[in-house]
Amino acid sequence: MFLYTENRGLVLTTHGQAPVFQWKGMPMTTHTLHRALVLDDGEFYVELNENFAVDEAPGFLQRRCYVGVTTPGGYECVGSFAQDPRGRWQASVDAPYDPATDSDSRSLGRHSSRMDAIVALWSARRQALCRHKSD
Amino acid sequence: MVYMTARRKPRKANNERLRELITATGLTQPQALALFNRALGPAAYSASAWKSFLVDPDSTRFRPFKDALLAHAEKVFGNIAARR
Repeated sequence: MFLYTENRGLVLTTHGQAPVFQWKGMPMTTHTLHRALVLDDGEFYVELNENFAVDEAPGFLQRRCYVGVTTPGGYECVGSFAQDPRGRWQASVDAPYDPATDSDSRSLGRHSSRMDAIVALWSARRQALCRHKSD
Repeated sequence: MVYMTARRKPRKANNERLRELITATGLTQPQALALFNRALGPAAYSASAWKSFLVDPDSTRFRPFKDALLAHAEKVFGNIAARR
């Protein structure tokens, strides 16, 4: 597990034992457990699905946005990665609906390791279809 | 709520995972829907939409459960399943 950030607006402070991420002086409100957070650039972050063992957990690409009716947590999910029945790791990001493929997600390929899928997902994060404005 | 299209669904795995989560909680489908909708406010899903997520994937009523909804479901139902 590691945390990567390239955003200088993201600040990590510690009060006793509990680390607190802050963005522009405001505490983050994504309710993500810190053990589940693997990548974070202040706008996008990748979190593991907390209902699986950490070593084999699938996960989601989330993007922070305003808190609104359809985004009560202040984030939207714009991609994911998961293991298929054959053991390959696939990643995808949200995309405009394409009638030709009958899909509203764009596959980022199938990978032999979870890390490769996460890398593909992270590299494509700014190509994901985001439905909500930034906060 | 009426859905105009019957798309070929690319995300059956998400729907299967939703069924797994509900089964793990021991809740009925209406109970699970009420819980799922609790934090969604006016964006809550109808019983009809909920059923369309849970029907057989080959059914024309089937509707894919998007990643965003699965992420929400994992947070809502995962804690309950863990406590059982």
